[in-house]
Amino acid sequence: MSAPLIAVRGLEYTYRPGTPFATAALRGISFAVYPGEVVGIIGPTGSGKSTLLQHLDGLLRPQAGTVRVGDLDLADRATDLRAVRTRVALLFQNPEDQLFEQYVADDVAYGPLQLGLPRDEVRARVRRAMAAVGLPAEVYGDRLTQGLSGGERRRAALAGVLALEPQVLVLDEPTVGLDPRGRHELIALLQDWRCQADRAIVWASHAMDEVALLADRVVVLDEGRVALEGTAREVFGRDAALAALGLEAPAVRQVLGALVQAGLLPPSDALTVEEAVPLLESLVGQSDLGETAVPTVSAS
Amino acid sequence: MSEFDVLRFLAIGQYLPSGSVLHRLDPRVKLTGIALFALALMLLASPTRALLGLVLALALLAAARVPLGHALRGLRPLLPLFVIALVLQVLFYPHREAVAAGSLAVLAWGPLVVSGAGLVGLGTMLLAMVDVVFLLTLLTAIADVSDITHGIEGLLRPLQRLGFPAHELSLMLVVALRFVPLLGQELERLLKAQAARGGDFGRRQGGIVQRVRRTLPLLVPLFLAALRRSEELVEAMESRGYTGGKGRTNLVRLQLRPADAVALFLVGCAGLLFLVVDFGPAEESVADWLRGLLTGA
Amino acid sequence: MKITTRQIVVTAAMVAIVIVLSAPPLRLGYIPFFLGVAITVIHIPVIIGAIMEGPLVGLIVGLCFGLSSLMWAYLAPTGPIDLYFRNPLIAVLPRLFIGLVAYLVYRLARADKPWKTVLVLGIILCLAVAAIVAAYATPILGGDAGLQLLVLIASLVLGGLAVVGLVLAVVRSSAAGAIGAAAAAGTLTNTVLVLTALGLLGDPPLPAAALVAAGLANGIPEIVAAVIITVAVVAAWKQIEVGRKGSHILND
Repeated sequence: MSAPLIAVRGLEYTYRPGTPFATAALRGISFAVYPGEVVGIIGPTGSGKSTLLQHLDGLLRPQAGTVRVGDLDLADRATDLRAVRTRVALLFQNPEDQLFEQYVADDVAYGPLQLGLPRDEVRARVRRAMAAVGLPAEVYGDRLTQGLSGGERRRAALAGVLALEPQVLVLDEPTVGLDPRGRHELIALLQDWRCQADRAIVWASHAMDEVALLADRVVVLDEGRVALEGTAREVFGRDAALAALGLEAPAVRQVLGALVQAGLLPPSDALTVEEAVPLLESLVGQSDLGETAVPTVSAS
Repeated sequence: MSEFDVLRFLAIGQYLPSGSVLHRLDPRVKLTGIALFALALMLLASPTRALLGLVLALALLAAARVPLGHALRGLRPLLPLFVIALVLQVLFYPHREAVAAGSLAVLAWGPLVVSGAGLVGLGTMLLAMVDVVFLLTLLTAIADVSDITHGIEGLLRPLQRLGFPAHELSLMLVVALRFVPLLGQELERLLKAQAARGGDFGRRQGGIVQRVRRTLPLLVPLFLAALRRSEELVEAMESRGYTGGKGRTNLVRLQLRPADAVALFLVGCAGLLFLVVDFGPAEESVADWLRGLLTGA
Repeated sequence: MKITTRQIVVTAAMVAIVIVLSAPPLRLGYIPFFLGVAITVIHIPVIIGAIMEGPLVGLIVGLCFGLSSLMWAYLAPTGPIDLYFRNPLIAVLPRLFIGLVAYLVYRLARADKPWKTVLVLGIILCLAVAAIVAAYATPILGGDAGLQLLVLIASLVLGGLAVVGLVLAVVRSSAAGAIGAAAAAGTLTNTVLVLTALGLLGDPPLPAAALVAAGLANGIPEIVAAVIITVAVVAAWKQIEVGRKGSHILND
């Protein structure tokens, strides 16, 4: 296995330390992000997902433990954050709210310009980034930022971060608030992006279905600690453990789980709709099902 | 402490629901009582009144079961001001004239003269400030946001008959108070999001235009977020049948109760006491009292 | 006067911004300039409220700006100047006019055929000139130099404002130009009125020279800042194109 792009070890962080309002957000987190993979970070609200993400690009510094981006140590105050941000780029929730320039291309150019790159290079990056999100610069570059639709604005914000050309893209709930088509498009974009070069994505989300679809590995947080870790298949196969943490399993797992409970199917680790279809087809063929009671799965 | 923690100071006073007698008063009484008290302190300051104010404020804080430590913590941001005020008073007060007029020369070191009158004046001002901060702590401790807004609306309602848009103003107040934490959080998110893109807002470099342009990534989205939320709220209100304040009734009806009458009576008494108390040239009385302490007892 | 729901809500939103920008410890409403001087942008919500929703909104947000200024002067003072801002006549009263002036200037610059306004302003201008002539050329004031000076200053101010109004009313300005002019006027109102209040009511009194110097050192950058920010915000919201069309990065 090649060297990790990001390595987190024993990370601890407390908000407002030393005051009566102190809250320990991270209590010793360790995991790593390797080139070419998508790491999904899930956990109930308050488990420390956002705090963890903010450590990955240096917005927050570890109070104990280490966060290494390549050979840069983020616990060291002297580390140049600019260098970190050329490798790890963070996209917040509702990123369309952060657009401030009048014209789209200028907003996308903000990040690279702040890095101090020459204008020609910035222009090239803007074109590449906007193409990558499906908003070609020739058409959308000179449009008014506030004149785009919500979904377009979100993609423009993503372009602004992609223009930093990081190795690792860190996303906090990137699909929240999008309609199903918007979500599909965004996920497809991200798939395309990570397939090029040895890039990695870290994705924090409540949307289990999406994480199940995209993630190679999953880290489950609970109250600032890593509760579960493994490949997506491993983690989502642990239905009981996830339920105990108050996390809803992906829809596919819920349906299959109900069928397993009714004794109609053997347990499996199918994660996606594609994998579940053959299993369900095998059911349809049977004619002796009769009036077997199947527990209902509520629509979520 | 996170440097991005914008909201920290916005929670000026904590609501401390200790269920005391003061908490159960009508919000209008809470507001009027404390407002009158604070006004009296600011307008009628004198050394004895400031001291009386301190005693009363502490008594009220105790009655409301506010921990002393909490009240004292509210004074912390004032400390730099105390130092500034001291320096200003030492330098700008006409000390020599006061000494010539009979005041005590507390300090006479070369060209620097500090008179007793000057110090007493400084002490009065600082003490009055302390009292006002205690009162504010008291108010926020015994009245939460909904209390305060009901109180203000209730107080302003009689003015509605004179054509004063009381309903609109109190609605505006409620909405503004709701927006403050929302926009504070938005600002915090913007700080982080733009910093993640390399934004450097505090940089002290370049001409005025450059510095201002550096703040645009924060300010423009903040205003836009506020305007967007306003649109959403207007739509939400109108689609729920809001057509203005005419004929609207409240779910919570404010009613004065015996406890409120007692409270008002006590406020009246305190007010009278305040006006009456003022033992002549304050400086002498304090000086006498001190002298008496040091020599006699 | 009918107050619309939108006016109430926008006022509330702008007041909330005033509070958020002025709150310590970050005090994001102050942009540090040189030598410890900081210019304020907290008056901008007042101007934006006035431009977008009218003079009443501008008045109320201005009132809240003043009250907020007063409150922080008591609770979290940063320097000796804050002692002066504990006087509501200095902290609150001048701020009531920011929104009104910004609104007037905006409307004048945008109005299509403001003949009535032009007429009124023209009359004011004539009266101002007449007053100066009367004060100095006729024996009405009996040669009292003080009174003459007072009439002169008042007439110059009124006349100057009338001239500015006339120029704005007659010259067709772009949407962005109107916004910028309103922002500049509002900021100027804030600077001039607050400094005047400080000069007249400051206790201990502040020397006039210092006030004028502060006015220039603070006031001019503040106007620049207000114009840039106000235009950026309002143009984005109303999707007005400002300046050269198209992005900078693609078209340079």
